Amino acid sequence: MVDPLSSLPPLPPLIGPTAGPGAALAGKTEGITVAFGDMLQGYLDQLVSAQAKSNALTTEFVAGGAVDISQVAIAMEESSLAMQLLLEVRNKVLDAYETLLRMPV
Amino acid sequence: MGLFETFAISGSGLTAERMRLDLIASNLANANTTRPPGETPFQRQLALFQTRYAGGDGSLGSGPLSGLGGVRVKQISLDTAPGRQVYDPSHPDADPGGYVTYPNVNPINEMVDMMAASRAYEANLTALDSGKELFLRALSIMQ
Repeated sequence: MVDPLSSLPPLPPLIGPTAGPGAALAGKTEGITVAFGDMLQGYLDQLVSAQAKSNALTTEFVAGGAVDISQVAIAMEESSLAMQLLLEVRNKVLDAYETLLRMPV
Repeated sequence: MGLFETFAISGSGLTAERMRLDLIASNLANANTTRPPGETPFQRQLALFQTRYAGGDGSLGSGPLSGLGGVRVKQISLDTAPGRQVYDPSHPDADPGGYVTYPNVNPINEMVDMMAASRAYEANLTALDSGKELFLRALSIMQ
């Protein structure tokens, strides 16, 4: 399968916090430049790992493992919120794309 | 995940308070447990909390958020106060003098501790809810 993100033409680098795991804290990010595609890819990876964690915890809890219900609930909530954030970003990107399409030439 | 710092911190509080509640339940359940003379009777168990730093091992990391890691139960300590003595010569666990040693658990203290622990649990839940609420509000900027 073609990686849809790597086929994007390179965008001018953004200046801002990175989205990858262990991202530097705000204020330390001066001078760090990240391409939008990389940022999105990093965020997608985070979402996938959050969902995997949520799945693993749920499975262990249902199987009677030594997991606190609060940990399960928090992991589920985290993955759900991360998904919502990703959806919002996607909607914004699509909006921008459609606005460009409607531009009279 | 940096986005969900609040969740991890409040979650550690929830886990710790839950453990405290478990210990209180165990104390209450064993409030009337006797042991034969010569053996140590059940002793009240207390949870000792400790700040958990983001470094993980109790060490301070570097950076502005290094102190934010929540809380953890450091150890379970035993209350070494002497147990309650009740005169009951017919009891199987009575000593030669006819006294039975009951655990040093006072149900009234335990009930008050339980209220404190469940309120603390609720406080952590409220902090968690508030963090989630803020996140959703921030998301609504984009809508």
